[in-house]
Amino acid sequence: MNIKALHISKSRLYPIVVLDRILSHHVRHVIHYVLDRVLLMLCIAIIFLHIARITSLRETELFIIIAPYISPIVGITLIVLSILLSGYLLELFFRFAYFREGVLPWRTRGRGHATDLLSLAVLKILYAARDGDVTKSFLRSAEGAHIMLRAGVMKENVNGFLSQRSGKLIERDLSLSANIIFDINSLARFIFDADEEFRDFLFQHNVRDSDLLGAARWVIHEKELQKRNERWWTREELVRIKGIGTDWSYGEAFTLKHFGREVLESYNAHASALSVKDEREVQEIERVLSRRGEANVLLVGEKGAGTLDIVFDFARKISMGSVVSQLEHKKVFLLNTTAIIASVRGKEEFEALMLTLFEEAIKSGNLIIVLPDLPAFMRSAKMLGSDVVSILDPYLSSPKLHVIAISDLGELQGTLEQNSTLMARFEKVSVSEPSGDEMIMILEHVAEDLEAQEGVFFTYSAIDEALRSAENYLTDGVLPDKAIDVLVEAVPHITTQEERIIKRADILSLITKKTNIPMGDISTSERIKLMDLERFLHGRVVGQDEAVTLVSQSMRRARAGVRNMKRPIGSFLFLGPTGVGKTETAKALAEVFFGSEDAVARFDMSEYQTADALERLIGFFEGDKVGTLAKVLKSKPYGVLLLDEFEKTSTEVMDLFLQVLDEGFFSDMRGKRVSARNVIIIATSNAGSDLIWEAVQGGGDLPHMKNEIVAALIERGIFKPELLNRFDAVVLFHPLNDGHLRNIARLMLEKLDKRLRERNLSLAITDELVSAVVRHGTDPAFGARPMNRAIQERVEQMIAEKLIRGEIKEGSQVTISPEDLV
Amino acid sequence: MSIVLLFWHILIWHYAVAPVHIIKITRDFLWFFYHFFSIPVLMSTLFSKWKRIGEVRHKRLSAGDFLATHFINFVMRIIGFFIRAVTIVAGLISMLLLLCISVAVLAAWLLYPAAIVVLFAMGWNFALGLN
Repeated sequence: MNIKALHISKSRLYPIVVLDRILSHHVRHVIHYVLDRVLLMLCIAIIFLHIARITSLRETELFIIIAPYISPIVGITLIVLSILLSGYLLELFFRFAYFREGVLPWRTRGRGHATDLLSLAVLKILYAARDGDVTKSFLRSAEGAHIMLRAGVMKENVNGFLSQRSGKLIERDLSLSANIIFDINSLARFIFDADEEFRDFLFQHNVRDSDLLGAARWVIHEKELQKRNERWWTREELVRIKGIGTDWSYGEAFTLKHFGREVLESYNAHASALSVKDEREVQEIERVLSRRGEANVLLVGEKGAGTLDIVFDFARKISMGSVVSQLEHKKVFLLNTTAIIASVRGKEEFEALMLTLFEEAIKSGNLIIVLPDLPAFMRSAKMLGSDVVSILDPYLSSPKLHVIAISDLGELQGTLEQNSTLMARFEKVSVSEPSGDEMIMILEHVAEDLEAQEGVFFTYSAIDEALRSAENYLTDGVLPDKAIDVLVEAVPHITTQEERIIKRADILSLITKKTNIPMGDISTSERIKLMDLERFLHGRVVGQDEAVTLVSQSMRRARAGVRNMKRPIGSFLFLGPTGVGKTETAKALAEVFFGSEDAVARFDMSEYQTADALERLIGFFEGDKVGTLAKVLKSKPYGVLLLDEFEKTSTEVMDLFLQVLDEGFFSDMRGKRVSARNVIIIATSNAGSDLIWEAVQGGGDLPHMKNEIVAALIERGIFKPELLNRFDAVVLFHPLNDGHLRNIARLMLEKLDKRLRERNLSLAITDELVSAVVRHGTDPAFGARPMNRAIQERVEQMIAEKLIRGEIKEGSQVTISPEDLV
Repeated sequence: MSIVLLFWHILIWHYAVAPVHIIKITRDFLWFFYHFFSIPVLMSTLFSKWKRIGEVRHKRLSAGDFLATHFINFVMRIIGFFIRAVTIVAGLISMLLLLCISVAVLAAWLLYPAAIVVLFAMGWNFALGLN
């Protein structure tokens, strides 16, 4: 329907909008304020006059003068009172419409006018735009301005856009779906789709449609929460007030209170809004706990994934009285197991305390005990020489007590499932990770809290980026916990720069700071470096043009953000003879992409060819020993993973890398995911060097012969085709010719010269010296590898001797003739 | 838009919509008082021991112990009954008061528009000295 032809005057809310336009909230407030005081003064005057009339004051001259005005004063008072009452009635009318904005009126269900579907806020915007521009009216409204701010567009930019704007949206069609309220979110979507000028303006400020709609949804949600808090008289709010008398039929648990607290007491009021997960887990807990006997729940979820929030939701459900009768008036009590362990001196004391606590729990009759980390509690008790399971078993099998134990999945598989007695007493309830939308809502609540506490402002894109970055780049922890950490850390990160508004770029710069992975907008200097990456790499790697080009292209893809986030940043198999620059390329890559050579984690895969190779990499289940690969990736999740002599490792290890290269993670011995999504994997191998030699000596073009060489490697059974296919690229490194070797020798001598300059000396790098180094430092079997030793053993040795003999003085240039090196 | 239409909207809301909400709010508050004073729980546990305080009967029991145990438990039940009964009565009185207030509010609400007109007319008469 065309906006013009919408006939908003037929909406049920139209009178309110018109009235609000004539008498705005502020004006009404002022009128009430003034009339309230006028009425008060008039009433005081009437009381005073009445007292005067019934006392001797009536004889005074003043009263005689005033007496004729008493009747008009009373009249004015009554008129003011009636106006004030009318005003209050109107205000109630307004407030009613305001609170019922999102509720579909009965008239609309089939009978009312189509415009009844427009929300009050939308109607106000359309009314303000009835002769002009909907986009302008939207941006000028309080809701629109707030949405733009949440989307990350500042007020001055919006004003600038409006002042230069030429088009109007008045002629566009607006479609209303039956029985769905057309709210601000729908209007934002409509404007974004219909108004090209507005869309371009948003793109200029890096605001995508998802950012605008996310911001609109957030603003509406904030408004709804605000309304909910204002409506203190609804049953949902009244239920929060704790009743009296429910505890009088249950016993007191004095000792227990020293070692824990009620779950509902330990959560702040805002936490109720945090509970956004669907109720599947809560219903499961209710079902299990309402059984007769062995009614115990083992809640399995990763730490930080909201397991305690679910327990809180369950406790809240009980407090609202919406549970089955068996669980009515129960209290969910969180036991502080750390405090229990800390308070005892030995096994006997611990066991006596446990018996006291659980006897009390049974005696009180209405407690559900929560053990926040059962495996850790079992381990701590074991250190005291006690077996928690055997102490708890009689209580767990009793119908008089309910227990909710919490564990993460790894601990469940590693510790708890080994104990069949324990597992028989519990029913497992798995906690699923919240969905993307639920996590965004959780983060929005956290952001609102931080805004209130720290005086900052989060844009929607910052929230969205925090979730995306936490998922893609932060390997430790689980969502939404690690995304919440990003938001919390973003506050000091920007306040130190004297900023108050947290945008997407701020989150990206924080992630870069934490991970060293370059992100966010590409700076001019970085752009130059990226576009000239080949030249930069050639500063360290001599020759090997194909390798350098392929690696550079891959890095540019990663930096541009078009890489697959579910795989490693890049993965390459470097094939070629020894000493031709394979490792050097990896180091150069680490330096350019991660800022330092130290970002290389090197594995000599020839050490992993025995039967236990796989376990040594991922960890041993027995003994709970962490594997080397798991350890390295956890401590250094961002960098270059260099797998030297990859062909020498066992088949099982190669199979492990099939998954790593394909999905970017593997599971350690406890079943926990170890991410390799933020590393560049470089496997090097000498396999096929003979074929490369032959190809080069035969004058063949190496890049064109790659397929043949790779096919030969598969035929020889060195690599499986599926493994080779999973690398981003298989790169052939050609043997070095004399020119390459001379360049390498020169590079190495320049490095030595640089070191000498730190001691105020310099080295004369002559062609003769370079030739001599090449002669002494080249071995057909090892490429340029012996060159380093040649420089060390001959050139450096010579300089050292000359220094000791006093033949070289500070500030002088060292000249070494080829004869010196013989 | 005519003032008459606005007046008509308000009138419909005042007499057709708002009274239903006043009744709904009253119902919610009655529910609140009913649960705040824990009337259903206290009724069902009227004669239970106060906070389960009492003596546990031992297996080998002397006559003296038997009497003492029963006496203490009896006292606790009496205390429990007394406190619960007082609370239940307080709850019922609160609900009754709330009901009375709600009826008064509803009546006042229905008379509200008329009261505005009457007050204004009276004021007008007083102001012009017609009274």
